[in-house]
Amino acid sequence: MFEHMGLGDHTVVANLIVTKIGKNLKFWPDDHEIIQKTLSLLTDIASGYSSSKLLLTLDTVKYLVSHHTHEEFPFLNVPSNARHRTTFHAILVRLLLSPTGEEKLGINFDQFMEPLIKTMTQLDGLDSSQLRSEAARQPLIGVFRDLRGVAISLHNRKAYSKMFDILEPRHTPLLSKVADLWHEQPDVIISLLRFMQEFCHNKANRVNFDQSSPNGILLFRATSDVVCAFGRRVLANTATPAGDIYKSRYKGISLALSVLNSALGGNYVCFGVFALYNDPALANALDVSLKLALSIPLDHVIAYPKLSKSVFGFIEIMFRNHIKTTLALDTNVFMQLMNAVHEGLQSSDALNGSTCANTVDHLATFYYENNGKDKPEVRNLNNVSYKCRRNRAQVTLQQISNCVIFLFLPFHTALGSSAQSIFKPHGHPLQSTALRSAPKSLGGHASDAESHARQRIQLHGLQRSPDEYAGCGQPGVTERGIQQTARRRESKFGEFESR
Amino acid sequence: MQLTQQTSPLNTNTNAYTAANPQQEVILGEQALTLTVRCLNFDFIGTNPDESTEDVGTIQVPSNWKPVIQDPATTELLLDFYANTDPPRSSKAMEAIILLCSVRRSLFSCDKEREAFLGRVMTGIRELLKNQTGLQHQDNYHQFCRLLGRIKSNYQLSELVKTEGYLEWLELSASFTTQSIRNWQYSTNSIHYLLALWNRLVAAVPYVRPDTGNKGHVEALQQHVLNVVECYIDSMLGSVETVLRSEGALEDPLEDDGSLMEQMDRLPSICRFQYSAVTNVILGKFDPLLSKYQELMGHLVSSSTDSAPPHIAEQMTILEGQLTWLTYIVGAIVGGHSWSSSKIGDGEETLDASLSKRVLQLAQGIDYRLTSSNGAGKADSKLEMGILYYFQNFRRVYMFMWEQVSFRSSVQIDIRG
Repeated sequence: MFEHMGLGDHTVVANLIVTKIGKNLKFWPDDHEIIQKTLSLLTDIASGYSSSKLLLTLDTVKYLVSHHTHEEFPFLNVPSNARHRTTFHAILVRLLLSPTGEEKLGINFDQFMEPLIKTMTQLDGLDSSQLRSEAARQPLIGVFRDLRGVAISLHNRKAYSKMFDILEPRHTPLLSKVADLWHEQPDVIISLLRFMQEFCHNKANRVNFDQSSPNGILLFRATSDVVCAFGRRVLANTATPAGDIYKSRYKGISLALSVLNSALGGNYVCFGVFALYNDPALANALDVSLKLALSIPLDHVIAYPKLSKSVFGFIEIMFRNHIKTTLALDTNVFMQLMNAVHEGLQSSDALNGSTCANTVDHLATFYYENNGKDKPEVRNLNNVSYKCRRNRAQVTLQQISNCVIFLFLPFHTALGSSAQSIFKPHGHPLQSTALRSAPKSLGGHASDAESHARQRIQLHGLQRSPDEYAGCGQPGVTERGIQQTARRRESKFGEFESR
Repeated sequence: MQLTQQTSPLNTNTNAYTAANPQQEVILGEQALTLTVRCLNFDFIGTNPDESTEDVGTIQVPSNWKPVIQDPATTELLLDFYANTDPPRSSKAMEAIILLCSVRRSLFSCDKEREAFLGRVMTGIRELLKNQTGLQHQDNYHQFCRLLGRIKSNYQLSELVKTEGYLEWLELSASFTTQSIRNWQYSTNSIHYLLALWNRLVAAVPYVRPDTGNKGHVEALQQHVLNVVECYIDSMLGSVETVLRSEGALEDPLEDDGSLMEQMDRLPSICRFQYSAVTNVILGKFDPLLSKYQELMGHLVSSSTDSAPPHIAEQMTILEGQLTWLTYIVGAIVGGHSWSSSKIGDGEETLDASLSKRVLQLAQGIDYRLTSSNGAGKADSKLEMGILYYFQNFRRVYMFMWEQVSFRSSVQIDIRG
């Protein structure tokens, strides 16, 4: 084919194509479509095995890698090309880090990062007012988008540690400073948070340090600083912003929560250390995030899919790994959390439903494993349920108790096949994960739970015989149905009480 | 069932012109037709929850509708109705015909019945084409193109070939296609249906024995396809100038990404059917344009197109537009390798190579101009997009071979010129 074309062998043709790509990037900074198509062509070439090896031998690519700043490629400076900066750097780093990449391209990772480091050092040197000025906006956005691109292509532990060593400890204070100063400007704060999200994301187990290395903890500290700085400012700024509330407020909150989700769930830091050495990083982070999560009205949370994903994910991680802190919360706050979980269980989005079901699973498992043991968390849990009983008039408690009753229901009848039928999910297949776990966790306590449940049900005036309940649980009777019945009876009981 | 009930109102309608008030007649006819179309469009087996596409699949009609559908009177009725009324009623009638043609093959109990049905439809189409009935209306025209596109997808080529007057039908369709393409201003949305028809005809040729049905149909097909392709290329190249001269009144087909891509998708197999002939046509057009363009670029070496004198700027724009079309076409053809059919014979590869060579030279030329003028001498952005399209296709088909190139034995064929 290539002989037939008469232009030279395949390397010449490839060089031609790549040169054209380079020229496009250089001379068409404003044409969004051309840049996008050019970058996607480059991504496709770089992703192929043989074609990427070929790319490494071409001069144009060497030029691209060593001169990836906006002096050479003005498209990087055009604000609407922000995500193209990320793609561009991701491709270059991918080529650089591929096997034999560094030697063929004649440049190593640190040299590649030099322009970025230079910008960051410059930004470091600015004081607060200069940092907050308009002149700093573009460089900040640029450097965060580029760093994100670099972080995307770090595929293994070695590469990740190289980048980590570059950033920490010289440049991490900059991150929280920016979060603090620029919190209400979506473009800057979002590029910062997206970078943090990528950086904390432990894909392919790349965030993995030596046993003697404190880096995991340092990373979490930096993350916590950023999230706390941002969160505190957002919480203080309660004025309703004009315009698109999602873009100006919720997007930032959603990203901040997902950053923390990746950090908490990444499995690279031992969180017990913080309590042991009285380091407030963890406590602050959890505190601020919780406030952030609860500050948004629940119907807004459910309305925005990405927001609901991060909020429910956060609640789930809290219950999974930090249940002690969760149970130590104030009852009202705890109830708000349970309310949110309850709403999430009924959402039409399968992912949210399963996350909330997992949350309930964790709570139930904890209860099962620790019931009867004298630990502060268990006492807290019992306090909560006691207070529930006391404040019967609260509607939220009704819903929570119904959640709990729904879990305890099987123990009214003999555990067995009837329980299975009660567990048939009413059109929500993922709730069954919670329901299936319930007998596991509560299974050993049949008599205990039964008396508990009986007590509770009598208290709420639900005077029904066990057989009636068995009937209730058949598919067709939804949880809402039970709730409504409960509410009706509850109101009657309330009336009776107030007389 | 219901369908019989509707066709009887249609029958009574056409038979009793004097019976009712003309106004009521019109409304009655319209309602009856709408009902027919809705019935036929019904999703009998629930396969397609998404109703947003225009394209009709095979309609799974229930068996008790068979007598009505097979009855020649139904097709006659609909064709008559079409001929005698204006849009929107006539286009609805045409839609009904399309749906009738798309009924499942198993509805007919034997081949003979199916052939008879097909024969009637084909005769109807031939009459329409000969007399150009009602085709001057945009709606009718669009539906008719859909019908042509549809008729092949539901019936095998061997059946079509066996119908009476197939060759005549073929010829009429070909001239209809060329005419439509020439009038691209009115028909941009419908051209790709016609191209789809030729696409399917061509794709089915390997499966039909040359001696079935009418004699010489393969040669006829070859000839017609070549005509269609030539006409397409010619008129698209011509469109550039027309658009320019109209100064904004006409929409540039190059900017309509959706239909452009649809047309490009249909092209590869049509062009590859007669690859060497088509290549010669393309090369015949490409070479003079390319040399002229290079000459002009030489004049304008360090300046942008805008700063050049007006008639040169105009020439450049026209040339660039034409080169863009050719680049897109070459890109589509090169990328249209179907690995399932015959493997790439050396012959085809040579042709690919000669086409690619031109495009790459073009790319080089533009590149040179950009660098020497340091960014001022830009080609039209549409041309750049066309080149990127070509690169993507080229990469998809040929780039994986790079490792193996050195091991392949190559046939030295001189293709320069």
